[in-house]
Amino acid sequence: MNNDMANPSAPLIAIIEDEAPIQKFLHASLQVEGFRIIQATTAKEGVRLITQQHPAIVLLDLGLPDADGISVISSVRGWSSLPIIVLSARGEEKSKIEALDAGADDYLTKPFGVGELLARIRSALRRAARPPVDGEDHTFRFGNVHGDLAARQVFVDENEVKLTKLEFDLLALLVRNRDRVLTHQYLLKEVWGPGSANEPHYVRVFMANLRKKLEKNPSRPQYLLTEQGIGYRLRSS
Amino acid sequence: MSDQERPTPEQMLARIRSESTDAESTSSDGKLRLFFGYAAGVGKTYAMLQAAQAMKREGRDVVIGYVEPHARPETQVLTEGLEALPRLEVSYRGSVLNEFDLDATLARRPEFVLVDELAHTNAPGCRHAKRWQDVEELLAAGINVLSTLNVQHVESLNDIVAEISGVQVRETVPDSILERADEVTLIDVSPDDLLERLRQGKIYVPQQAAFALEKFFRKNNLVALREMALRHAADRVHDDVEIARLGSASNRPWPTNERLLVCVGPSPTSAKVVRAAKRLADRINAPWIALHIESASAVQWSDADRQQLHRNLKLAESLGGEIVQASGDDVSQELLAYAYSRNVTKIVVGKTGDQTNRWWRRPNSLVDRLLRDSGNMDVVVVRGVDEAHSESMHWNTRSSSLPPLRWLEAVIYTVAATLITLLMNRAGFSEANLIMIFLLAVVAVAARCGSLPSIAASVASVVIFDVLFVPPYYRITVYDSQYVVTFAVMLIVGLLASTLTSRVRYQADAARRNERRAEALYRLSRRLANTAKTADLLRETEQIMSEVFDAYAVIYLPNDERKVRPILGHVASFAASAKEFATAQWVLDHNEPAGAGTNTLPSSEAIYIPLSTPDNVAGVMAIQPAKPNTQLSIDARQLLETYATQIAFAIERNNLSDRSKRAELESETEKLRSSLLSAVSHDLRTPLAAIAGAASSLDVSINKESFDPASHDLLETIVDESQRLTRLVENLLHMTRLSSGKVQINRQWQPVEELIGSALHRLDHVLAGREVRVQIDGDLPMVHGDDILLETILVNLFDNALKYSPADSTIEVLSEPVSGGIAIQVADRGCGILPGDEEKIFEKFHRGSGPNTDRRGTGLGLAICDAIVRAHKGTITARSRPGGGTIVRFTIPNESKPPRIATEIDE
Repeated sequence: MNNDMANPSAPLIAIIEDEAPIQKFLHASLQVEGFRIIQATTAKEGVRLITQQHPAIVLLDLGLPDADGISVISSVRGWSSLPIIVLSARGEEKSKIEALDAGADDYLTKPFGVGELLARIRSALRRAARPPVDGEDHTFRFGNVHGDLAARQVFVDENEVKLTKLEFDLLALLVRNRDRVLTHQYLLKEVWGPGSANEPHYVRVFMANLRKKLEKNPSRPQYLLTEQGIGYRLRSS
Repeated sequence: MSDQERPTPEQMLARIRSESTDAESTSSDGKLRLFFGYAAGVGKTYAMLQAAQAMKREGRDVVIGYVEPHARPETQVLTEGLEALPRLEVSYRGSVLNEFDLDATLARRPEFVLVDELAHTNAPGCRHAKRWQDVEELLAAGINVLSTLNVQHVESLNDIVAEISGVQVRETVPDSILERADEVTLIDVSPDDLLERLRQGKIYVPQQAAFALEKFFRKNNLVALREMALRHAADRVHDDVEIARLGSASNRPWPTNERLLVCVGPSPTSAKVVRAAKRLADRINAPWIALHIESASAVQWSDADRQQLHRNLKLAESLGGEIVQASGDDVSQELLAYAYSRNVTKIVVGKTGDQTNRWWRRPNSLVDRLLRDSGNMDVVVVRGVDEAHSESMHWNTRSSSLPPLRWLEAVIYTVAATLITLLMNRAGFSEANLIMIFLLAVVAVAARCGSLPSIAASVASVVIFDVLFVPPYYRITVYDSQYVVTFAVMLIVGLLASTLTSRVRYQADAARRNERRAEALYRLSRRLANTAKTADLLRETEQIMSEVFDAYAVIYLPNDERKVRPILGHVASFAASAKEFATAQWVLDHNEPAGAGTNTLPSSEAIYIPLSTPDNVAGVMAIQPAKPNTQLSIDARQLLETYATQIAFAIERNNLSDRSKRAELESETEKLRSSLLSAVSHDLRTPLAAIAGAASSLDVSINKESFDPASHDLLETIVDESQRLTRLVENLLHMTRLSSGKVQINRQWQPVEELIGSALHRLDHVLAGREVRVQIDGDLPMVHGDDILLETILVNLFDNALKYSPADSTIEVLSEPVSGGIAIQVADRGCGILPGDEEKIFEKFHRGSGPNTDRRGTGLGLAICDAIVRAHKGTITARSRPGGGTIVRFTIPNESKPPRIATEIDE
């Protein structure tokens, strides 16, 4: 279902959602924001739509009538790295983790406000447009923290902060994937290596250390955010 | 290390087993420490009390369960300062006896208890017949026991002591309890010192045993007893050394491939042979089997013989032997066949008076034939000497037929034969025909009346024939020497016929008996297999048991708390008696037979057999013979145990099938419930998500100036209320899941700070700048819990604090370590809790009833918190805060020690 009214250069969003009320509200809210929209109500139709029309971003409901939404992610990830945002209900942390591990970029828990949705869409689009981090720009900044990944330096305001090797590796991984949710298992595997899968508390302990060193108020973090039951996200703005 | 020195896998296995049983006994069973001596007066009780005093000084919980009331002052002094449990007073035949109170000790549960005189026989009416059984129960309950024992009370040494001292000791303790003792302390003084003490009157002598003791306390006796005690203790040390040596990989042949077999018969000497076999088996560390073979000769046994056999077999059982009964004509062949089938290496038989060398001895005595055919097995022949007959037991077995009647029948046959031959003689028949008639009578007597009457009949026939028909008539004397041959042949034929027919009769009897048993067993198993309902199964079983054993049978089944209930309205009247059902409970708890005819609770009316499967006791079967004052023979007992196994498996099978049906039903219900839940949650959430989303869309994306203030307020109401409704739905779903008990707790270690942080972050929009003070103890360990559920608790508590306190007040969060876990508390300056409401607020749909109560709450938040904390085995409490407000505090215990994080070396 194409939207002829929108600017042809506006980003194309694919909404794969079987619930008519949600679909209607998404369609209306995003159209107002100037996006072009295509819609599908089944997984099969969704995959076909994505292959044919190459949308800039996909909003995917996990509970589709014909197949698990995760199967859509897997088949799309076979050939494309376009951003996928998963829509799911509270209490379905397991399927969210599965979706993220299968390659989804982000998730939103229903019910969500349009403000939150738009923020996630824009941030995903920005990331997709950005060249791989390790290219020219290896400096980063969030809040009063800035640093240089290549020089392995981190500053809070203008004071350099000493991080241990693992703390730095963890931070670097979060910086490279800023605004994305990284699951516990992914962080463990990347920072501690594949043999550490049974020690999920490592990530939590090191994250707490990072917060103590970087956040103003470690018990109410503003940037190093916990996605309870799933993992962590570095909020860059 | 060469291969020879390395222990074989079998040795290692044996060591591991011994270690693991050690570990088991240390973990659950109590320890037994024995003070072992060779006679009364060596100072066992004194040493035991000294040890107890030393323990008390170390601060151990040690009490006196029972110590003989010695008059000796130095012993008396040692009891001071130790807590003494009250004794049990049992009235018996008009006098009151003091006994050790087992139940009081079990109720008191001391760490250590002193129980003097392990070999003591309890007064009738106590739970166990013997004190060592009381001690076993204490040990099984995990209570450590200190006790005393003299060498003459050790069962396997019993007859040697009797031989040395001439005193038969009746109170014996099975060797097994001595073997299981964790520590044996030998108390020794020289016989001269002991005699000196006796002369000084320092040895406590019970009145009734004064005579026996006088016989006992002779120097040569004491020397011999002392040697036995020392040797026994040395054997024990030797065993310990061997186990230790094996542990240090030194080479030693492992003797478990030895197996001993002892033949048990109905003679009193057999008891001695059994004890000898036990000692031999101990020495070579081998298991042993007591085998009785019932042959044709069994038909001639008297009831006394059968009782003696029963006693001998029970003795073997109490000494730790395996009991096997077989039947067959040729004892030695049966015995050897069985021995080969079980890989026996040594056969122990008794040498009885019959087998001493006499010229008429049968060349093929049992011992001879065993020696000839035993192949590579050793045959150990033990001298059997009659012991004094042990005390008579009130034991009645039903005899098969009445002897006077048999003899009468034999007389009638013989008289009839005489009359017929007289008539035939008148009619002119020859002597040969007359002899035939007599032989016919002898065979008839043998067939009908058994062997003794038939032997008598053949002798009588010869005499009558001689007197009546051989000249000179009416005298025993015979003129014609040819008749001697006639008489001899007649006698031999008569005897042979009687032996053969009685053997045939016995075999027919045995076959019939076996057939009856096999038939009953078959009938039982068929009916058990065809019965689906447990109630029917019980009825069927009780009926079959009643028929087979001519007894009342009752089956008790335990309920979920492993308790049996008396059965009312049963045909067997004893089923409803409280005392009887207490016996049933004991059997259920201990998985051992008890009741009439056993050593445990012998005053019960019925015998109680556990219906045990390898991993469970399915129930208890009680059998009471229909005729009063009869008991089951050992045969019947074994048969009963076979039945018990069958019944146990049938009950267990029924239980399992019931359980699997229930589980199936439960899983169906659960499937239905969860599909309903997800359907409902989907149907509620979708429209809510659409409303909330659409409203927010209007709020965010449309130019706000296009709304007049009233419309803007309405929009805000839609957004707020849809959010509230969403929370309500989430809470309802959460509560439903939690109360169905199917929520999996995914415990992980995590810092408390992170939980508080993420909960606050989730409430960012509601907090709207409210001051939250977080105070976390510096040494706070991580918490072991489900991250999502713990966050839910905090979100609910913060939400409540926000809702019920003034907008400008501070919310305080505190977390600190408590023993075995952590505590978190959330405090506000709100309206507080009405007194008496501290518990109620955790109930579902309860809302605070204070004056400032906001009616907007769902009454589920705290109930959810409570359910989650409970699922973590923690506690949650709420109270009013001094100075106004509420404090809610919960604890989450750790299930294990917090993990250590490998510290990282800083770069």
